[in-house]
Amino acid sequence: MGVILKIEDLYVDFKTERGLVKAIDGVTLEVKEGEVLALIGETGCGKSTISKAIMRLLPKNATVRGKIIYKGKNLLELPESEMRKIRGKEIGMIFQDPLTSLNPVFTVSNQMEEMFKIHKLPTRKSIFEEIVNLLKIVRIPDAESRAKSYPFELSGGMRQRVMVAMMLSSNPSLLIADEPTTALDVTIQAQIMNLMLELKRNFNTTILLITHNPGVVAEIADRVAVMYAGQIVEVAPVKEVFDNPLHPYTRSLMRALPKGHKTERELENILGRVPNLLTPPPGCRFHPRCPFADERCTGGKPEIKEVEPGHFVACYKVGGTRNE
Amino acid sequence: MKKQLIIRKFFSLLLPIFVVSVFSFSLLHLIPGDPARYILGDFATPQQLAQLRHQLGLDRPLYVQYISWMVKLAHGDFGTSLVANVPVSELIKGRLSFTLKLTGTAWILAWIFGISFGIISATKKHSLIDYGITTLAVFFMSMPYFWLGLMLMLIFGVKLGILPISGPGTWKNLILPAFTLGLPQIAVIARLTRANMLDVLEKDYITTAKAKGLPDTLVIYKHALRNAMIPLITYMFLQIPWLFGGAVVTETVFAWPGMGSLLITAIFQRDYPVVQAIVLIIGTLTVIANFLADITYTIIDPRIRAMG
Amino acid sequence: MVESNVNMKKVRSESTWYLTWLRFKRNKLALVGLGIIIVIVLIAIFAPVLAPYSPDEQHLKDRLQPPSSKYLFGTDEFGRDLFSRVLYGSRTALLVGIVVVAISATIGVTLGLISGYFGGWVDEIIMRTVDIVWSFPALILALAIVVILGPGLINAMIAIALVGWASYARVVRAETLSVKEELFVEAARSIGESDLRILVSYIFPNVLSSILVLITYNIPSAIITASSLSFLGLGAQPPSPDWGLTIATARRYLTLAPWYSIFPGLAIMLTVLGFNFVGDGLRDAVQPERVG
Repeated sequence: MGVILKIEDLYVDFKTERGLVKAIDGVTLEVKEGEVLALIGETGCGKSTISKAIMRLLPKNATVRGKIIYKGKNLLELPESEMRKIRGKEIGMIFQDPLTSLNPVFTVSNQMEEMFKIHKLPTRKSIFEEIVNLLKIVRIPDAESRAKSYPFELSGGMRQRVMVAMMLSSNPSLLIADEPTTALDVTIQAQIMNLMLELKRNFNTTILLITHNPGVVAEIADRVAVMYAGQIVEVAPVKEVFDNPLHPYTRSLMRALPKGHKTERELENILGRVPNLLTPPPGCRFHPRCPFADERCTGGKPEIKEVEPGHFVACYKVGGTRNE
Repeated sequence: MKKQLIIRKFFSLLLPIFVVSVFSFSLLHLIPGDPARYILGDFATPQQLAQLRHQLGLDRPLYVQYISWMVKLAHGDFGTSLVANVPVSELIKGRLSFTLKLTGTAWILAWIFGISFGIISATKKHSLIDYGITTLAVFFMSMPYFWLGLMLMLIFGVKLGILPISGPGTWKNLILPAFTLGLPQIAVIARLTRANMLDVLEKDYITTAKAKGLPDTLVIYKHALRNAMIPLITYMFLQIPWLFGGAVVTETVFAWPGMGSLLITAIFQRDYPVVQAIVLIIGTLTVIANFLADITYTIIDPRIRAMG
Repeated sequence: MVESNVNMKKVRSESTWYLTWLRFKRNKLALVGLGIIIVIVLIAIFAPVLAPYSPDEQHLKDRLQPPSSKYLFGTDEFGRDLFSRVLYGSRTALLVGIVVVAISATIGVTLGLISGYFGGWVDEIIMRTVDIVWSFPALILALAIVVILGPGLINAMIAIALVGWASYARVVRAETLSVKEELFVEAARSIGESDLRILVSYIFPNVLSSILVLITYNIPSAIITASSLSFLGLGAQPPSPDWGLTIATARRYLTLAPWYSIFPGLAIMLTVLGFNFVGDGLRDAVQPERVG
């Protein structure tokens, strides 16, 4: 499997009234072709910032350093006109809240049509028929009339299906799903997740799934990257993360999951306070909450290294001198 | 959209129109003392007073006067001017087109420039041009029409000598009055557009539109502008009566022979039928503008359209 | 228990005022506006001290003189010092602002409280009237009222006040509707407070900040409408140094003596600008979530 997206040493800072927020602090991450990579972490850890950085959709007060290499091209250096051909066409994106991510004053077909027109997508039939077909693929009943509906006439789950169908229309190589089910209720969540899995199998789409829900991760992901306060702390195959978590943060995450009920529990507020990114702790950002921290952890930031084949951890206490 | 809704809203017009008609009617009757003596002055003879009372119908019971006034109105009869001794309707007819030309031009200027400046300001937020537009806007909103008119006259008419300063005539005569009336409105609309655009540009669906790879022009002019305009639509109509209010002063400054300058002349000449007619016309226009604002708002926003 | 709840709410609203002031202070334009207003108030109070001449003193030899060190803003057709007259004119402007606000706020706030608190047909009648008055062009409605009352500054002020109350009624009603559902009002009702007392001591303090914002917008619009009426000859009458009236005369000498029109107009603009800046700052400070 080739690498479709490679993030190298990414830093994102936000200028705010209260100071510089160091939201992403030296993230390196690979997404392999055809896989589902889950990026998991608490709210505010910077996972959505990464997704927006890939799409270059960060607000103006953000400064980005590092490289984001997609199919050999550094997205951060592309001219805006080239970037627009990547957005939507090469990389699709689905957002957290389907209730607000569709434009309220245009019909579903009008908003989907734009994809065909802007990216000059090939059509076998009329664009409208293509749209109806796409809506059928994402299992929207009565697709013809739904296509003519306004977003507010559809339920949240339906709207997320529309988003999926819209982003699917260009058959993108990479789909970034930023908390796609968080705003939906549990049964709808499962339906949307199954839909995405099905699409992945049928279209061989690579998916970068951003979530704070380990249950979702267990169901769909091939590999998992765990994020904490703007840093990646552990990357491993999904089975490894659940059965053999190495980073103290990942371990406490997994311990927090009651056995057998992995899907329901969310991470938020399990572990106490997330650090303030205006003045992040020096060294390993997890050390103030880490039971194993010593003076080395407060000194320099631990490099992420492969401790077992395919299993990467950024912790002084793991690898070479594994204690406990 | 539901027909019943429009019909219901249409009937809700009747009460305010009734109130406006009663108000215009009572302009003459609320004058303290004898209206006839007030109009004719202290040196009028008893015969003159009696004749005027009869002409104005003051010798009949109030409700009869109101009903007969309304019946005449329904036939397009606004009474007779006490000064010019011609039907008020003819007097107004000659003036109306001038007022419409002035307010219409100002209205178009206001929206074209207002929206453009608002968009520029919002998309270049916190830039020099944004500060320039917003600062100028506050200044123009803080000037009374009559002074703004005089200053434009002074600059373009007197100092530069490139535009005629008063009276009707060619289209050139329209430029200064139209901008006098339009500039404060441009400022208001630019500020509203800017605020709404900034609000809308933060929305999730704008991020979606960008994530789809749409060019900025489409994101701004289609996705953002349409949503930002919805709250402004009501203003498109609500603003019309205010333009007529501003026209009174502007027409007086530029000796523009419209309804507004007629109103002022009529007030000084105590020509009550003319005053009543103009107040009634502008009042009715206000009620209708409100109605249209309400209806259009319902039509333009699919969410409200569906609720019915 | 109930008493302490009620008191807590009152204490909180005091600290809210302090927070509002802190937010207001950060807005530079608002501070500039406040500075302008303070200067104009000082000018109005100390006009006799500051003015080099009496506003009515005629220097017949110095008619329509351009600005000079002797006459800072030049002179009018009677040789009166325009600088002195503009200084004195601030008194009329502020008087208009104060009188109009006092009348319209009293009428509007009372009707708004009644409308929002009692609801029903009272509400219906008041709000229908508000709709009409609010959308009617202020100047024309004021003109119509001046037609009834006759020309003059006092009548002009009354007319403007009779137009201006509608926006107070509208806002106060809306706020009353939401405040009356709050727990501390429920609590007051449950301990048997009278409607009047609830309106005055529980609801009114909580709508005060919105009223304050309205007042800062109402003053400049009243000044503009009053000066327009004076300009049209229906407001202040000669020999008043009212700015609008001065411009009405100055207009005749626009080519000959442009300064005559410029300075009183600048005075109106600065005054209005000051209040608008403060109004914008106050609005953003009272409703911080609206700042974009």
